[in-house]
Amino acid sequence: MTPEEVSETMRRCPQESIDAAIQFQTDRDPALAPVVVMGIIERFAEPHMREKVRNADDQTRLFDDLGIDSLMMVEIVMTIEQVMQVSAPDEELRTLRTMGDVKKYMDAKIRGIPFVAPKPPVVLAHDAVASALPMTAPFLFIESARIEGDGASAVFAAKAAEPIYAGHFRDEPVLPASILMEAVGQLACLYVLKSGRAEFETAAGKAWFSSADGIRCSRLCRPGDVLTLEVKLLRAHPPLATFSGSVLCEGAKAASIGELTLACGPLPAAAAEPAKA
Amino acid sequence: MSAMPGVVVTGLGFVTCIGLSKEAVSDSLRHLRHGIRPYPPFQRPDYQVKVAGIVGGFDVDSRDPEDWKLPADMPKLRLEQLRSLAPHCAYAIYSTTKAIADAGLSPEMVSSERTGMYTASSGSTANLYAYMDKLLKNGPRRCPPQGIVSSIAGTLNFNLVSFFKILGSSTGFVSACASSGHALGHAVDEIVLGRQDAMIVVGAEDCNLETILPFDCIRALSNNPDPDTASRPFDKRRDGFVGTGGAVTMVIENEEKARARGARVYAKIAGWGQASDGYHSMMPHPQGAGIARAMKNALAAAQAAPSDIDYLNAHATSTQAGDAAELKAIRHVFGSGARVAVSSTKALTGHALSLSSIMENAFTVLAMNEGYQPGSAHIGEPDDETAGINVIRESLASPMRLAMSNSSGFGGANVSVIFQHD
Repeated sequence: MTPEEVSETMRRCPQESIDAAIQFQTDRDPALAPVVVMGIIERFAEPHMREKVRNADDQTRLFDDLGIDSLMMVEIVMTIEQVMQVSAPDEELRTLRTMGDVKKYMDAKIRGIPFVAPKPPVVLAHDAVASALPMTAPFLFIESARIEGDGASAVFAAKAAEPIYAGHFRDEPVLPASILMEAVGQLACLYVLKSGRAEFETAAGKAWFSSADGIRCSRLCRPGDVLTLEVKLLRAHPPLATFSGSVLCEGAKAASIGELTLACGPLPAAAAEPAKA
Repeated sequence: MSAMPGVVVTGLGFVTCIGLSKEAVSDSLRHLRHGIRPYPPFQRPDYQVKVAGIVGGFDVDSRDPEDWKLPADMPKLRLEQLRSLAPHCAYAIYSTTKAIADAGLSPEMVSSERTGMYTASSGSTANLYAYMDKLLKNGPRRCPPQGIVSSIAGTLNFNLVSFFKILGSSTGFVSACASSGHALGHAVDEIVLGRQDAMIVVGAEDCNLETILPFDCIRALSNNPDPDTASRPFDKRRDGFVGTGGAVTMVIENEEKARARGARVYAKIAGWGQASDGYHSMMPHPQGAGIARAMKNALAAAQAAPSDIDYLNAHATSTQAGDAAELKAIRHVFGSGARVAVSSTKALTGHALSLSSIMENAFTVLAMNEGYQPGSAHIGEPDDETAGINVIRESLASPMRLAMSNSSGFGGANVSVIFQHD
């Protein structure tokens, strides 16, 4: 493509991405791809989302975080295909969920190497959560969960907290911080059991609390609040798995855990407490 | 007295070449100020047609909606919504927003199972042409996905029903220059049948070369370059119509429900009728047989006699054949020497095709509400066929109790609607 054709095709994209695409025409340097791709995504995103696109990292989700729907994706891909002279089949595109996926995908296309599709997310409704985790009422705090890549998110089971409010505190129902930590721990367990990662094959369906560090609580959670939980796998050195975790209350951060470590696998007969990570 | 009681007009919104507000429109109607100007894309030596009724306030000439300049009080559109629009959809989102506000409908009332929307446009020829050109040149995988919904007949319906989150009945009407009359008539029936409490009726057309110029191929456009006389329905020297576009929205409601919520009522809809010529795909029946029967059907529905009608807004587009046929039909229905005051407001606006019926229905309602009869402008020498017909050449400060508005379209489709002063 001539520089004029690139500029016309990429009309309304940020100038730096147009410049990168023009340079790409001569040297096909894969290092230019992220700038071009990000610029094209930014151009088709809704204006109020563009700041988010600029600040996106590899984990940023195209649909959930940036509001890119399937039709916008068609335009994004069409433009990328044109300016980068690659072809992106629909069945491959459907597997792309995050900015990181898109970058890896474009890199594979430009280098002409096979693209390994990212694993689709594991979505667990309440029944699936209840059958996966050994906890049960009144001590199961995950309503539903979604496991994707290195992380998982969950909706806190508000109903399970009702009996607890009765006693904590008298005349002032507040969700105990210890229960928030337990809920995050349950989500981390769910990740170990259901993410399908090779590191956890030896866990044999078991994960035990080992340690927690850097716990911060920043707001009270009360009856009726909608809580969501998130964990992200930081390290997996079997049998230990270390996560960071957070709790959002009505969309605002309520608590965070710097490091939460689980010991995965059957509990050794002699060890009452597994070693700290 | 009406056979179809209970349907009232409660909201109006305008994007026309004679104004973007009901105040501006009414002022133009009352003082016979036209909106016809030389149209820049027509200023070529090989085009005989030179003028059009140009809609102000919107710069929607680009085929890329992101280039458009829309009025400051245009509702906010998401990028994804904007990119699906044809020019007339932008006009219509504006006029519909104004009409909804005028009727005082809350967002909950608009997006309700009891509220529907009927639309009328011929689609966007300009967008369809640009889209097909790109499609055939680049192939389907190199064409924007919005191409279809921003171009084909139905684009108005797709875009507005989704934009306004309509939950009730919705469809689009395609009977050329009678389309928005059919949309209004069937919307009235939807309320009469109890299926809906409110209907939003929208007519719109692109105001551009691609929509207007094809009519010069059938010698239907005026080749008169003078904006002050190019559109002159009922004048002996008329030589065709002047094209225009825009959008008009009318909110109609179940009378009882509208009154219960204290809505301001512009007029009642006393009845409507339709009939077809069964004659030719383009030419009107020489005696106006279809429009005559449509008028009779409307009178029967309204349980009114011809002598009850105070004012008739004629379809008359300023073509030789069309105006003559309608004049014959009027004489046939009302009788020679009838008192009904007849005018064609197309002298001021030009002919807005699918939009024209609802536009002129709205003009009639506005004038009825304000107690005047808009005149038929630009008549220098009346056509012989006007003999025995009370064509009013100036606006008259005369109230009307019952008024009729006619529309005719390709294929000999005819619609007549009767409004009653509240």
